[in-house]
Amino acid sequence: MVADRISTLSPAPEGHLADHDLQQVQLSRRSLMGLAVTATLPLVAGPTSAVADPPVAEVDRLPPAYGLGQPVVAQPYGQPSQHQLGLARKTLPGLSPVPQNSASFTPLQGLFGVITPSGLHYERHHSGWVDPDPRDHHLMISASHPELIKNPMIFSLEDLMRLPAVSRLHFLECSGNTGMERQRATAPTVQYTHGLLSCSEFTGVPLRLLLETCGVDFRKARYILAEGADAAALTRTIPMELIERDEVLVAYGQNGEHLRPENGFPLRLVVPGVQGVSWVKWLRRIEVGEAPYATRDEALRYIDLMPDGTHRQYTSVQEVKSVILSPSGGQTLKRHGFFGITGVAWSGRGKIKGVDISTDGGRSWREARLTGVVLDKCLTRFHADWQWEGDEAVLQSRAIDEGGHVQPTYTTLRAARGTGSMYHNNAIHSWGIEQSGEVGNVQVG
Amino acid sequence: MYRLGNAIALLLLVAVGNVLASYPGVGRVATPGELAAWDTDIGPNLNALPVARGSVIQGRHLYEAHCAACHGSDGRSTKVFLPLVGGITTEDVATGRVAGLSPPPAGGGSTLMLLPTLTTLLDYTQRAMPFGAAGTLNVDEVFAISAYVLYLGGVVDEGFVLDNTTAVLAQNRLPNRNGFTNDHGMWPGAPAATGGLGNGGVPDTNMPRCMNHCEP
Repeated sequence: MVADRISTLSPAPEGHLADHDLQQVQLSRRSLMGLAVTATLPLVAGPTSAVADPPVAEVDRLPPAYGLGQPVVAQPYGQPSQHQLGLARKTLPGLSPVPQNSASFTPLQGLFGVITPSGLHYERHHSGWVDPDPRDHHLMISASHPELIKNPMIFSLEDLMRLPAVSRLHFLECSGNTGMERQRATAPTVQYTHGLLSCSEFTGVPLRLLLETCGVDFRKARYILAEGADAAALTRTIPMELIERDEVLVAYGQNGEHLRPENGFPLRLVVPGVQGVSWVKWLRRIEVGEAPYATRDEALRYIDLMPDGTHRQYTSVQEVKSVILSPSGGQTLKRHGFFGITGVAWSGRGKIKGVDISTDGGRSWREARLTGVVLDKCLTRFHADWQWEGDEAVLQSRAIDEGGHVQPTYTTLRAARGTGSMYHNNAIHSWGIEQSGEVGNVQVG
Repeated sequence: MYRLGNAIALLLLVAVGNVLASYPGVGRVATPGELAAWDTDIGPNLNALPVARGSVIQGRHLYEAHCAACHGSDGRSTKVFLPLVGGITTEDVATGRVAGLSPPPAGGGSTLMLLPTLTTLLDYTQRAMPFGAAGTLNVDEVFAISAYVLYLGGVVDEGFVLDNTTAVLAQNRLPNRNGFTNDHGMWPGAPAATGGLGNGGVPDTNMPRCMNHCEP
């Protein structure tokens, strides 16, 4: 309630995606700023009084201090403020009939900077998450053929923690992120449109070091199979080039502590720039081989259906992408005047070079400021100043990476790949602002 | 000598950037028994399949016991997962391209509409099925159930026996065996031109960085 008195922007209602609320989200084709859009704007009857300046409560006496507080270690593991408990992972009703084979979304709309708190990291499990005793968990390095390796080896978590470690910040994005938006605007908030995205500092051992220790023949072994110990025994093929470039890590640390169970404790693979499914959790075995493996999650799922009915296989890189986190869908601008536009940009092909902002649906653009670290295959925070005078607006962000790749419009993406695949949607996203101040998910075109 | 030895050790450290070439005492060599027990994937090479055998007839009983509850007796249930079979024609079996994938099928295609490689079916059934009881099927049972799924989909006939010599016959009848391409820019390893996959990372969505009077 305090937030309501002082804020100029009301947050998207938390917990608004009960079945009942989902039925309130209506899809319509309409015009906004003269642009034809599909929209999931909230149901409202006419303009609200939200943009009238509320009366100011004068504070003419210094309020009493807070008094004696809680003792130390009242919470041995600190928790967020009780006023922030609405910021939580959420799943979509009806996303999957099997809750162990499902996903939950990171509440991007409430995060700052680029680090995702570990407890808010998005989840995608194929057979549920587990919390195994690390003393019983081991990593085997083996080969599809004995000639490819001198010494197949087994490492414990303790073994791996003795080896020279590195720590790196990287984004992690499910290739199905924004998949529901491929054909039209669907989800009401950024948590659901883009929340299969997180970013952490990962600590671990470069996989190259382990393969060299085992005496892998790098001339012949050009692929690895990474295998998890979850009930799905999830497996993915990864090219040896990424390992030779020292990019791939066997990680045990995340944001300064051990991996969370939902993120693969005690071991997961880190494959920077590549879609989340390859970052195998509960990692138990790495096999080096001479050919790609065509596993279930690269032959039946995580394949990209093209308009001619063929599927692209082994599509792995998460291409240049960005999204505005505030203002974003479900929020309301409560007053006219200054607003900061902020969001994140990322590319699986390297660093972010720039981010452009449009407030007129993509007809004109200006550069945003990159405010914070700009790292390889990592989220990059951007800000842009904006004055809202109460007119309709369509906000967009467009990222450019160091290779010069420009985030595509939906028109361009659909011209290249159609709408049949739910994977690898990196199109420019639009938020529509009504005169009432309400922000909704819209698609231009 | 002691001092000289120290100096040599120091030089060695400097020479390799303070990272040792080996890490004695860290990890251990896996035994043959461990390798056999852990190495359970069925790889993509049809000529290197495990020695195993299972018939459609055997598969029918196993499928009913282990699979039908989720996938339906006909393999077409959508109650829990996407259907295993359906959406394919004899023409698809002949051409290796499933016509029903264009335009995209509503709700996604069945397993047999998508499956390009038989080893994928064998490997996944062995490693992850039945859901919630993974690893409880022996390799002969995996082959029998896979044979039955192919039969349900009209890919093989009722008398078919799947083993490491007949697998190639089934592979050559998979309805979508020619339906896949690696011609794209989203593989981060070596390109097809040098023995890898894909076009070397060239995107298919090139855009100019237009700043004014742009096409929305």
